[in-house]
Amino acid sequence: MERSIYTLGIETSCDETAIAILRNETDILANIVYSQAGLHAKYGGVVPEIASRNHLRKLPYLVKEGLEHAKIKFSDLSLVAATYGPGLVGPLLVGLSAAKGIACGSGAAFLGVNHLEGHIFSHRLAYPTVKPPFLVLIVSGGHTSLVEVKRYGEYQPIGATRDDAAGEVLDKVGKMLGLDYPAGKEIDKLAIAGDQSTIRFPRPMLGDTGFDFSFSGLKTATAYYLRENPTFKVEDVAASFLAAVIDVLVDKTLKAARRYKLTQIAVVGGVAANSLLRRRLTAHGKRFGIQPFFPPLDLCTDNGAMIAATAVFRYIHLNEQHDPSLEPAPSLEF
Amino acid sequence: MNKVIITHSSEETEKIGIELALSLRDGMVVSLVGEVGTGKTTLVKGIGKGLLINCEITSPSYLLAKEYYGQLVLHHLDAYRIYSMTELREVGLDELLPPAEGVTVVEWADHIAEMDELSDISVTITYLDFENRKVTINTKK
Repeated sequence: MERSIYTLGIETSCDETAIAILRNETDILANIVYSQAGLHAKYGGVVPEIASRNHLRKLPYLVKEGLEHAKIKFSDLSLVAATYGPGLVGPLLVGLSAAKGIACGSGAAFLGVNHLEGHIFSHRLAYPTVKPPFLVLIVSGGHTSLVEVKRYGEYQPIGATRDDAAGEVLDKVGKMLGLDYPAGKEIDKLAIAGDQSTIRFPRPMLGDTGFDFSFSGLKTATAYYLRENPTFKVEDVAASFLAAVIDVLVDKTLKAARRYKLTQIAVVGGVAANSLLRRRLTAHGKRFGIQPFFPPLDLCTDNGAMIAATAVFRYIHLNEQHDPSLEPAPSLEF
Repeated sequence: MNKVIITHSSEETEKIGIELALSLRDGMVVSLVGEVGTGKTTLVKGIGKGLLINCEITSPSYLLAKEYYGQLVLHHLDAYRIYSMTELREVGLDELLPPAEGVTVVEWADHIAEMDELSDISVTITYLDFENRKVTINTKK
């Protein structure tokens, strides 16, 4: 019997301190996220000071817990990986340094992972039998991008936001409506109780033939509406605003899938949890024979398993590993 | 020195950025203040055009900082989710105030008390109505 490959994946690029242990390519033995959302909520956003300090404090405990959970020792690890970008310099450095140290101490290989590629591998973890090519919609607080996955490791960026990310406008409009951070889940809930036909918000870039997004104008239109209509009904604003965001996401994504002749779509990132996005993309996709896949929530949002899965793929199939001199790349792209 | 301009569209706000870029030199810091949706990122897009940066400048609210290369390096910071200099220091972004190379533009600069002292140019955008904005440019020295 061939020996199993154990990979430790560390993700500290933004809000979450997360680790995971993977056996071979898709077998998750431990996947632990220490969410700091509770601490961030009172500031209406991620506070880097708190984020960075907590990554440092929480990480050793999370790694220890992960190893116990997976019933393996440091010396069993073949590979240790961490996100090296994009993200915040301080938190990235915490995760990277920990990974390098553990790799060095346990004799494992070290690999830095692009967070965006990590999101693509969250799809592979959830649906190992769904093979490329497929279209990926990465939609979160920091990113809104369409990428064609020709095969794992080979990507073609198709479109991206020209201003704000979809999750960012959800949080910013949530703040205007007096909601707690992160606001996506609450807007989703309020929208169900509201009437989306109350306000006709703009659908930016919908008429455009390209595959880029723009959400900043919608954010401005919503701010303007709230200012001019101080007696607004929160549920109706949430429903009308969310419908505009989702219309644009669904329309562009399906257009891209048809243009590139892809019949499978992987939706990843925090906004993939949105119920209206799931319903509409599924219903509208069906008309064109296009099937969307939504990984379970714990794989949609930032997590260590997607980092470990990316790393082990590159290690085994692309024969890659990194030198310990690898530095954080805060503005890393595809 | 104070200069006040009324803009009637996002294109005009962007144009102010293009003109502003011409006065930027290595080591300069620009503060941007204005509510959500007034056009801060639009103005930075203009600065990017003025510096002949040919990739898309997007909101750095989540990543906190992005970097672009043109005639000068543009460090685009966003303090939307930051509330003090200590927090900037924690993630190492204080090193860009001022930058050793290029220029630093900080959105939501009013979130950080020290920005007044650190900026060479302060731009405040206020909302007049859906299309119109008042842009006040204060240049030190």
